[in-house]
Amino acid sequence: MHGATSESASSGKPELRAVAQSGHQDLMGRVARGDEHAFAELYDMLAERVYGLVLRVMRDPAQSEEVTQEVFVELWRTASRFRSERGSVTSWAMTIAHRRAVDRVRSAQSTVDREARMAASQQDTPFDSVADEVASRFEQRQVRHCLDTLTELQRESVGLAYYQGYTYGEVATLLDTPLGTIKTRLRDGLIRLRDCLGVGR
Amino acid sequence: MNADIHTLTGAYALHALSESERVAFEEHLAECAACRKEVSELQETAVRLGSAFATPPPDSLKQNVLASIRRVRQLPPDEGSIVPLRGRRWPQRATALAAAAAAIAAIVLGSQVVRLDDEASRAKQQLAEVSSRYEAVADMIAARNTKIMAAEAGDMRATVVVSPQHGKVAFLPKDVPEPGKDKTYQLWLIGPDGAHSAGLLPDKDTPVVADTIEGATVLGVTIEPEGGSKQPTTDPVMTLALG
Repeated sequence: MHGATSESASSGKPELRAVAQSGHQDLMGRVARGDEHAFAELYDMLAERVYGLVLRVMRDPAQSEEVTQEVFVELWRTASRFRSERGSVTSWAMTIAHRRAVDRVRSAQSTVDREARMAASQQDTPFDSVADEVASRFEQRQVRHCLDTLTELQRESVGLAYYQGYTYGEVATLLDTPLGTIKTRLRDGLIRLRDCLGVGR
Repeated sequence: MNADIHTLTGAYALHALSESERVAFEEHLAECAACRKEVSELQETAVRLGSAFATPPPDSLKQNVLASIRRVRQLPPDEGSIVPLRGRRWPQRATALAAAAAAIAAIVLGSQVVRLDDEASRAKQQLAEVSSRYEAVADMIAARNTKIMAAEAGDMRATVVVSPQHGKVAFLPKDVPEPGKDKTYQLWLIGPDGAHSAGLLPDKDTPVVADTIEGATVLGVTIEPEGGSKQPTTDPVMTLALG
């Protein structure tokens, strides 16, 4: 099965990851001390991923640029609060980015927009993306492979929540499934993905 | 560990909880190490889902970002916080409350608030007695630029300690009347973007230490239903200008 190859490929990575991690920590230390060059490096390291995720959730390029800028300003402002023991720099930045994009989608959109979006999303599976939307093909392949290991309900729930920014209550409505089931599917779906992607220690 | 709330780790990592559930879950997280570990792993997993869509932003964005950070002051390091910072806003109602609270602070409390700048050492000594129990407060008192204020409103008296260096505010109750059956006192920090909960008063003797918020100008105390509210539901029984 493909799982074996992708898993052994990623098991060679931890050392590299550890080196990269300690480098990122130094970078964050410099950013926290107000070093603008270090911040520019941080921007180069994260911009494609942050913008790509925000765009994926928000769809509108102009608004996505705005939110991406807000995310980086927040990273700058709160750099001293970053704790490496709580997760990687990338994870910290992407979590903030997702949170901001989702907040914006939830608050700014009128009910009408939101309903239209809910209707549109029913034909829109999370992974029918245009090819040029995707920069990191390896990452994409691995994620796609791991999503394939989920049940259909797990995959749909995770995709609607993460890529479309729906609350689990909205996901339950969209999929016409009890709340408790969606809650559980989001968790066990992510746990399965975590194990497939080799996340964690 | 509460098994039911624990299943929310997935929805939380995906930002798929409603506002009230998120607040409740973060309170649970603060006490559940196993949940924190799982959440952190699931967040890392979500990040991998997000990274798959990396897309180069327009070149102009970098210049805009670099220009805008030059106008933004960075937060000082925060040594003690365990709970993730809450960055949510309460737009209209909170702004109205902030204005109301500021007005009350200006008009009513102008005469009732006594600054103890000269009596700081007295307060320091008093607080040293509880320092073994309340080390966080003692550290704040010891820091530079710390402000110690006495607040009085009706029958309620308290000492408020504000430490810009720690980014924290402490509320030390002195005389606190019973809030009423099934009610609790809740503290609020009110800044330019509204009121943020600074926690519930656990009893009439225990200090509350909270992370301050950017630009906080007023500390307010309201009576809320047991368990607290997401936003103030009653007029403040005490407000104190922090500036």
